[in-house]
Amino acid sequence: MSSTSQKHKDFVAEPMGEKLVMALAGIGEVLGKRLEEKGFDKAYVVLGQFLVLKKDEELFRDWLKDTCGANVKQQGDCYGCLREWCDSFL
Amino acid sequence: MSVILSNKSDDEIRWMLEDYGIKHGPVVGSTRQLYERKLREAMAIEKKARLRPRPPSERTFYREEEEITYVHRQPRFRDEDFHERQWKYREMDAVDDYIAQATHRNMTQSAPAASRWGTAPPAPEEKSSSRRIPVWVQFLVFLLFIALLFFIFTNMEPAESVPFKRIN
Repeated sequence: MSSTSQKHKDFVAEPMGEKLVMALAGIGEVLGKRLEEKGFDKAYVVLGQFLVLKKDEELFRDWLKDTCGANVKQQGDCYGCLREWCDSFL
Repeated sequence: MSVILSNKSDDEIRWMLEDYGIKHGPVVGSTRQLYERKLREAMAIEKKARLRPRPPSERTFYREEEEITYVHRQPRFRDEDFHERQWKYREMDAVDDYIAQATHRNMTQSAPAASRWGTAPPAPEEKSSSRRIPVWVQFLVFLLFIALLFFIFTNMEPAESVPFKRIN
């Protein structure tokens, strides 16, 4: 398994509160902007989408790719980040 | 007949997803587009599968007629020729493959060789339709490359017995 980034560790360490979508692992400025344009301006909105997709990896990856053009690595990072956050806090 | 998915209700989309066996969550505003895309892809695959000529090994209902149909076998496609043609077909591109299969299928309606083919036809034919460069060309290129390497190797200068030159 690849090691998780600092961003990932920071995100999963505490409740996300009002953190911006850019706080999610895998989501940088460019992807963050695209997500914001679609209405996903906060991390919790993406969390909402993640949950509506039943926390399924394939569905979430597909959705992320369609919505902001995330590549495979970015999809994986974001999915892993949210999944781990849910394991701890949901 | 084209299906306009955007006109369907959320429930209808959900039913279609279930019909196609696509994993899904609730169909809501934010997931609608994703599911419509998945359905479109599934429908395209299904259409492709329907149009593609099925290999005779799938036509089980002919097996009972096996004994009788030997007498009525078409002279053009004999069993001993079949495997030869099978290998020849693999070299053709997808279009020719389709035409050849279609004509073959029409010729041998009763498919007496259905049982003899067993599982051989589907896999190799599917693989051959995805080849752009014929196998022999690939082999040729490979052999040329090996020949080149060999040529370089044989023309290399012999290593000096004493690698270190004495400076006088």
